[in-house]
Amino acid sequence: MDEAILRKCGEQIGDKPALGPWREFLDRQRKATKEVHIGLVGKYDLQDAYKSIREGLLQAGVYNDHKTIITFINSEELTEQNVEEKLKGQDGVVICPGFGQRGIEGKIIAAHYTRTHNIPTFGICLGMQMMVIEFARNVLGYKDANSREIDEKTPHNVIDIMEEQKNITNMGGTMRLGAYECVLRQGSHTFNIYKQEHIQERHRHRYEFNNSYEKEFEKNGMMCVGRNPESELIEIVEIPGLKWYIGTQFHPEYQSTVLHPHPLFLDFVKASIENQKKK
Amino acid sequence: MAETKYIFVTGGVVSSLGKGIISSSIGKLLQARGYNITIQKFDPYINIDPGTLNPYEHGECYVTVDGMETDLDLGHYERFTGIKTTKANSMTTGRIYKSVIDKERRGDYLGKTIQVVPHITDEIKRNIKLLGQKYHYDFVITEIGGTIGDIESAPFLEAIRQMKWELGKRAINLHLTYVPYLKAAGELKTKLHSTVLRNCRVWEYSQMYLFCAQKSILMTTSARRLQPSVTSISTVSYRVRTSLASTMCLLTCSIRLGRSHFT
Repeated sequence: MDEAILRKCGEQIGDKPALGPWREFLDRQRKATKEVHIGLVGKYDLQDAYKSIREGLLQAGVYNDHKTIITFINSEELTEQNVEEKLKGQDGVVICPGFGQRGIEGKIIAAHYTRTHNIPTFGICLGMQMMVIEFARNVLGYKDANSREIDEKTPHNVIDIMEEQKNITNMGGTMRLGAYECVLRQGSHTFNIYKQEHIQERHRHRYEFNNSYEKEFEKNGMMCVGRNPESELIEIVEIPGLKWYIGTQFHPEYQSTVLHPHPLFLDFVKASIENQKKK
Repeated sequence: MAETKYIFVTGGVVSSLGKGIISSSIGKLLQARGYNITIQKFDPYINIDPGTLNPYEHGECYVTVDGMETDLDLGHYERFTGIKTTKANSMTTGRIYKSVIDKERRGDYLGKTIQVVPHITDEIKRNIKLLGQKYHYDFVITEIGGTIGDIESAPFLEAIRQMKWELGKRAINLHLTYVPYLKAAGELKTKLHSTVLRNCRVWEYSQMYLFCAQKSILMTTSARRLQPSVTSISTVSYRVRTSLASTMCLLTCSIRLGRSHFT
């Protein structure tokens, strides 16, 4: 194909490209027969809706010599009664990003189940916020804890609208978008995964962790281990005692590529595989 | 390489043929040969960006480093080629019109009547060339969203037609089409493609074709039937699947088939 194009353009064709690392990746992918099962808890029942997350998980699977089998779990259908059955057989769970009210209670139920059953859990964007709300409700005891996005009048707004978002009325292109710096706390689980202190990740959100609850969360075991150095915005929460329980406000999936898989995805899939073995 | 070359990727018959994957694969292959490349996506919808689009309709919204909400195809570009895309890699009809209307309000057009041709098409051309001029890429791959024959995509095709006229060998286009396999008849159906081809002729749009069939290998008889109507054919066929596995297969497949079948 590339030769055909070069010929059309009147270019010299030259040697065949080696594509070494790519072939290696393909080889590894072909050879990976063992499976790791990841449940994707979200509300959009469409393959493309979580494309980058799916790709990130598949890449991470290959680098762990496993085939990632992804099961979509509709958060709208999750209840406390059926959560055990719905998440059965999943070695790890991703709580997906999203917006608005629909399906969020299901995400909270999923976060509760995976936290109390010590299943590796990765919350992204809204998924991280749901982890925070779940923790506030069931560990801190604020039964009415919520996000301002969902309940404007909640007395325990553990997720609040960002200051600079308060006066925005236009919906298009006005969120906190693009890459921002984040500083990781040395010694934390997340720091050990990244193996560096300063990271850059991409964002897309209007709401944030309410910093006035930070101390209370930390005292009870949910650590705020990543923050933006300028705005103090909390980017990452984790529960160190569990196998893998990390929520990120940013979207790590946007930076995961075939040749450079994202460290968080790699480690999450690895933890899921280990979890499978111990079962 | 002295001057930037432009590759346009379009699709016919139906969407979801895998234009994004093809663009990314070609980008990757050229990159592997040492060329400096970038890939951009032009979408014919009126939204300024897909940030406000429902994921049910348009899939995931991808975010670039500089904070642009873009089409999910940009994710493929980055994952395949490792390049970092920016605002300039994603363009919509909405942004093209907005920029033209803003210029009109500023009085930049000095009292002229603003029309689709030449004002909108010129703006499209200017945007297509923007990245190539700024960063001196060897190849700029431009994927046009939607399908040929839509009213929305007409200005883009006119812009491409003009660019090919202006740039000669430095601009080529790849066209993806759908050649369905009917099980009952036991054959590949080429009529759909012929219809698209008629549309393409209006835009003087025939240089290289990629045929996309459900069967993994396009039968030679069908290929021959398609052949006389185009200047050159590359009978690369593949099955469209969305999983990463097949996108990898596709890359290898496009290397293999492209070499042996190109006429």
